[in-house]
Order: sequence, then structure tokens, then C-alpha cells
Amino acid sequence: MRTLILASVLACAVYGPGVWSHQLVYEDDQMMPVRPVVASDAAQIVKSLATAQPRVLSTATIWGLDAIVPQSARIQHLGNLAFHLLNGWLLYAVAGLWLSSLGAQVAGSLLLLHPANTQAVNYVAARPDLVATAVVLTTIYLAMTYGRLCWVIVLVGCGLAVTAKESAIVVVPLVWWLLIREDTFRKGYVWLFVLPLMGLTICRILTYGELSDQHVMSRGPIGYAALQATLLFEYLSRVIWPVGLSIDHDPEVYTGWYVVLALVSWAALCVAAWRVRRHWPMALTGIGFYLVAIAPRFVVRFSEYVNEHQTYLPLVGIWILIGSAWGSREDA
Amino acid sequence: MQWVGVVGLVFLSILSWDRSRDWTDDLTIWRAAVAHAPLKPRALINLGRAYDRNGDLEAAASAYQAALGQSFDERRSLYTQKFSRAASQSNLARILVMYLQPAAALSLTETVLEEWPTFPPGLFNHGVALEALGRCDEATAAYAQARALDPNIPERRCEH
Repeated sequence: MRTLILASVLACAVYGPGVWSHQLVYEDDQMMPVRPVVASDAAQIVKSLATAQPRVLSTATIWGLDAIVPQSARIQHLGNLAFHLLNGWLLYAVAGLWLSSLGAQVAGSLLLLHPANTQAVNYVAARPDLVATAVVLTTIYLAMTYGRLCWVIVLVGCGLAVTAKESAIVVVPLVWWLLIREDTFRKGYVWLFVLPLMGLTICRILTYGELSDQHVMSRGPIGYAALQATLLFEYLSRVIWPVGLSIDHDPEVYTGWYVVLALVSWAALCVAAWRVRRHWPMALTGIGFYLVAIAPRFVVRFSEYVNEHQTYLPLVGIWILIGSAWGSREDA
Repeated sequence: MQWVGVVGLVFLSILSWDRSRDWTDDLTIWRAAVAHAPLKPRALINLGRAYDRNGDLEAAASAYQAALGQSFDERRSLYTQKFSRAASQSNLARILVMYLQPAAALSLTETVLEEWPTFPPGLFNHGVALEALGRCDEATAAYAQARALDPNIPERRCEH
């Protein structure tokens, strides 16, 4: 457990100074000078965050901390850091269901320290991502541990998770994916899972292509699908090469070669995970987790936004994948 | 192997610490965003707003003008183009009022409302420009219309 303890201490050292010195940054309300909510007014920001419906659970954490120390940026940042640390340990517990102790610790440590998660921790408005991840990980752990009550736990967990963030409804397919993974990977029944997902995605892409929604751009179905793949690649590439992180990426101006690179990379990654599924099932498990957890972003739509805090939960799949690779290497 | 892991964790920590410093306040986060995506109107408008709030009106106006220039980029969605134009011009108008140039501000807000007649912040700042020109009745009507469209718009009375 030494690795995870070290990672927790390092996480406190990394984010601690920010807890003390960072202001509240709530960017969308300050684009217009006429809006009453501005970053210097902590009370207004807290009120704005705490009335974000219908995220009752997340807003309750904002109100709860505000009740302890009113109008304080520090207490809200401290809350984010506490949830982040909790998630690191919860991931350790969940990953430990399949991985060696070291592999699980590596997964938890990556969640705690990887720069891809800095936005989720530093941005108080990203509290729903942190709370939802805590609920989803707890649900997965309990569902896997208490098999008989599995779907009761999932239903309760799902009800709780969507009050943290709507997209956390993915806890249902995630538990299903984790439950069926070994049998289906071996027998090939995985298509029962993958085909409906692919069908839904294709339908969604075609629908968006046909709609003249001005948000979605006049790209057509293929252009829209290419944009989605590019954004997914953009998210994942920040894990592999964690520099150039920003609150605002600019995917609309990416050149054609980058789109091709994104499409080829995703295809190669999925094919590779499929081919090694028998002797390294965690590769497909991890990538499947990532894709399932990020699926709500497709349903809502990707337009011009790439927000790093949105990948806080999906990246759990990638941390498990890397933890599995590291753990098995150490075991060998 | 263990040492490789420890070094890796320390390396990630340094990157995270460095990135976290960008989140100090509005100005640092939007400066970093514009450095990363210099052509993106949203980042430029938010940087302008951060300068505006810090009292650096010249830098704010410069950022809004850059955003306005980028709002004609046809690679972006129609909505992004339209919103970026409306937001940057509306915000510029407010700065012009502060520089005691209400006529120029009014001209800008009229341009905004020509393209987007129901843009609440545009209507509000149109009211601000009208108020500065002493046209109180029209200003009051503009404030009321803005608030009717968006309840988040603050209540304001013409005090000219």
C-alpha cells in the first residue's frame, strides 16, 4: 500500500497550495459583463453552483461546505481535493477486484496524480464529476462484492449517481460490462454488447447529420463522426502525452491529417485490445470502460467543447488498463 | 522497476503542480487558454472579461477585438460565429461607454441587435449606451426586454 500512500501525500503536496490560494473560477457566467455572477463574488458563485439542477447530491456538497465556512473558496477547493483523494482509494479497492495489489495501487495513483485530472480537482464547478465518480466506484465495488444483491445495489447506486451528475447513469452498463467481460470475451458474445452500442452511435451520428441544429455545424454525418473520433483521440492523447492541457481546446480548427490520425488510432487501439482479449482481458475491459463511460458525451453532443473534467470517470478505465499492465509486469 | 514507478509518480506530480498554477484566478486560466488556443473566440472573450474585471480596459478591448476578428472563421459552427460576434461587440460597447464614447457604443450594440435581436446581454448593453446618451425611456425599455429574455440579467434603472 506504500505506493498509494506516497501518491496520496504527493497529491496533497500538488493540490494543497491551490486550496489555500486559488480563487473560484466559473467561466461561463463571466463571459458577459452584465451577468451578476462574477468570480470575485464567492457567495454568488456558490449560489450559482448550488442551484444547478437537478444535481441534488453535488449541490448538497457545495451547500454543506458553504454552511461550514460561508463564502469561502478554500473550503470548496478543499472539498474537491477530499473527493479526489477518496476516488483514488476507491479505485484502488475496485481495481483490486481484478488486479494485483501493486496494479491496483498504480491505477489509484494515476487517478490521483495524472495531470489530465487537474481540471476536475481545481475547478469547483467540476464537483459533480468527482461526486459521481465516487458513487459509481462505490456502486461497482459493492455490486461486485455482493453478487446476490448486485442489481439492487446497481439500481440504488444509479439513482444516487444521477443526482450527482446525469451522465453517471452509465453505472448500469459499466457494471454489466464488468460482470460479463470474461465469459463474453472468451465466447465471443461480446458482440451482444458491442453491436447495440455501435448501432445507437451510428443512429445518433446520422440523426445529427440530418438535423440542421446550428450548434452541430453543417458537417454532415461523416464530418460529425470524424469530429467525435477526433475529440475522443484528443482526450486520450492527453493521457499519453500530458502537456498542452487547457480549459479550452480548439478542435474545430484541427487539420485533416489529425482527424485521419485520430480515426486510425482508435481503430488500431480497438483491434489491438480485441486481439489480446484472451491473455490480457483487462485491455479490452479498460477501453470498453472508457468508451461506455464517455458515451453520454456523444448523446448530448460534442460541439466545440473539450472539457478535461468530463473524462474524470471515463479515464478510470485507462488507469485500470495501465495498472493491469504494470502489475502483471511486476508479477512476472 | 520500483524506482521507475516512483520517478514516474514524481514526474506526474510536477506536471500536475505546474498545470494547477494555471487555475489560480480568471486571468491565469484564460491566459493559459489563449496561449493554447489563440484563435478560439470563447477563450479570447473570457480573457477580455478577466482583464475587464481587473480594470485593464485596454487589454480587455484588445482581446474582444481579437475575438471579433476570429468570429468570422467559417470552420466554426454558425452558432459559435454568431455568439462570438454578439458577445465581443456587446462587451466592447460597454468599454466604449466607460471611455465616454456612447455614440460609438450604441452603433456597436445596434449591429449586434441587427444580427441577433433577442440577445439579452446585447439588449442590456444597448440600454447602457442609450442611458449614457440620455435616452432614458429607450434604455428602460431595453433593460426590461433583456430581463424578460434572461432573468439572470441584473435589474437596472436609468438614472440619467
